[in-house]
Amino acid sequence: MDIAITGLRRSFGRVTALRGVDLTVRGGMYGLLGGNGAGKTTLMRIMAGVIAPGAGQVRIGGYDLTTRSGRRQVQRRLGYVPQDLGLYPDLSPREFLDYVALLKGLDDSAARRRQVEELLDVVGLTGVAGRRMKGFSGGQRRRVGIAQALLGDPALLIVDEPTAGLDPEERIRFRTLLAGLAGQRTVLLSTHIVEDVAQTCHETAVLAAGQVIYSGSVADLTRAAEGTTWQMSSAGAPPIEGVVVSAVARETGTQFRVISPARPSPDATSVAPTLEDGYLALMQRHSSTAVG
Amino acid sequence: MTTGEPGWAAGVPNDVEMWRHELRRLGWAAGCAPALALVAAVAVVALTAGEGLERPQASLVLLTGLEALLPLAVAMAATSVVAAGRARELHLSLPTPYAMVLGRRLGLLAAATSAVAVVFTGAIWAAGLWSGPSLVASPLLWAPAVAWLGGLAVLVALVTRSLLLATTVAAGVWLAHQLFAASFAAHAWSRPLYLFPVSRLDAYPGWMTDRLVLTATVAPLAAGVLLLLRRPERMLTEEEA
Repeated sequence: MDIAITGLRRSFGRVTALRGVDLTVRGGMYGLLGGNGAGKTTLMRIMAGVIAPGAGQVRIGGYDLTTRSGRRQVQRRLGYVPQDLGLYPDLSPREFLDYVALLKGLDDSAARRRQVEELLDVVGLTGVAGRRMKGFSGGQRRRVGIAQALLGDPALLIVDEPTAGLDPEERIRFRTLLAGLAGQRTVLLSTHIVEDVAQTCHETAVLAAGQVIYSGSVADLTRAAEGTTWQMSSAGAPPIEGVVVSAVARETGTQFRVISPARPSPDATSVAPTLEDGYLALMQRHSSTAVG
Repeated sequence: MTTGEPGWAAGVPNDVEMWRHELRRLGWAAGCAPALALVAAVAVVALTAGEGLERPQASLVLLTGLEALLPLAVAMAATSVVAAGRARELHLSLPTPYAMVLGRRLGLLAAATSAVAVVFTGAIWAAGLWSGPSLVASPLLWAPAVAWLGGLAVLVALVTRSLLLATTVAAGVWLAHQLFAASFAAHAWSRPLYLFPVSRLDAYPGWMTDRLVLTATVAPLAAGVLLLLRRPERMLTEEEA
């Protein structure tokens, strides 16, 4: 399902969350990166039809989201996992999925129940399908969230911060699950965890202060830090020049990984960048441009 | 998977399943609130019966339960349905409008309220303690006040997106009507808007007409509620927005 957004603006009172977003997504798994308050959740909510756009154009699969009927059409083809799921704790996953399936208009009882059981199996919750969700872990809740989103086999899956608060093992399992789902549909993954995008997406956009400051391939974003990523050792304080990406304590001193346009110290060596380096280099460039 | 396998109810139509789900989402506290309000009135009568409570006094307490306690309980329950619902963001992303979901839950609350009010009216009439209007007109005793106070509470909940503020406003209005009955009765313009004319003003002549006027004033509240429900982000709380 193609997504075409042009000049999207959205304000809440005096706060402007989106300041003219332009974005094009063409199928597969697409990452949306950005820090806290960048406007990711507002953008996700607009695409999910939860809130109406303020100004600009948003078209998903040809449907115009500035109209009520367009939003409804998209919602019929959408699976959405909000950041805060707010599940009903007194329901079991099976009951919850059945309820959501009815709200999604899956009226054929037998087909609906079959799909619920299949999805419980896909997300690995068959063993606890009849248990109340009250005592579920964060990972189990997220899996229920994914299962409900997949009801009705949606062409578009929007997932907002799916791995926040999960342990590393659960995070990897979740990422693998999401990547597997992107084969037959568009999956939009919003996150501030760069590693999640690095491991699952070919294409990504970076949002900062309500604007898209990058959209393109993950490889090109990684290359944004080429020639500006350095590694150096220091016995004392971190380097003054650049942004420190990581600091690893060793017997000989601390090994720093630094993003800096200039060599931060004479003994610093240039290293191949990762996506995280590219992202930080982009953010650094953007903030210096914004200040300048 | 076929109907009748473990974990699934057999042969239940979709509509029934949906209403059953919504009944559970309404919650036992909200669903039982109307009945509990009337049980409270009965409890007051039962507890004071041994202390020489006369029949007219007992009758007045029971009527007060129907006319005053029931609307308050319903307003509180309706507020919790609108302002304390879970999974709102998820609901707002689904093709079934959340306004319809809330409408179903409020409809169930209204049905529960009507059922207990009718049964209660019949019971106190059968016990010879009914001192209100004719049985046919008896819904005018409670229905307009329930709709007005409930409508106001829901409207405030949608405007402020705060359970606390909505319940405070509803309780404040209810209390003002209890404390300033004479002031409401003193003016021709305020009398039709008074919520408890039978229990507090002794069913003055023409109170039924005033009840119909009060019912008509529910329309702007309902229009306000419907208007706000058309703006989905109104359904997210300040914390969620």
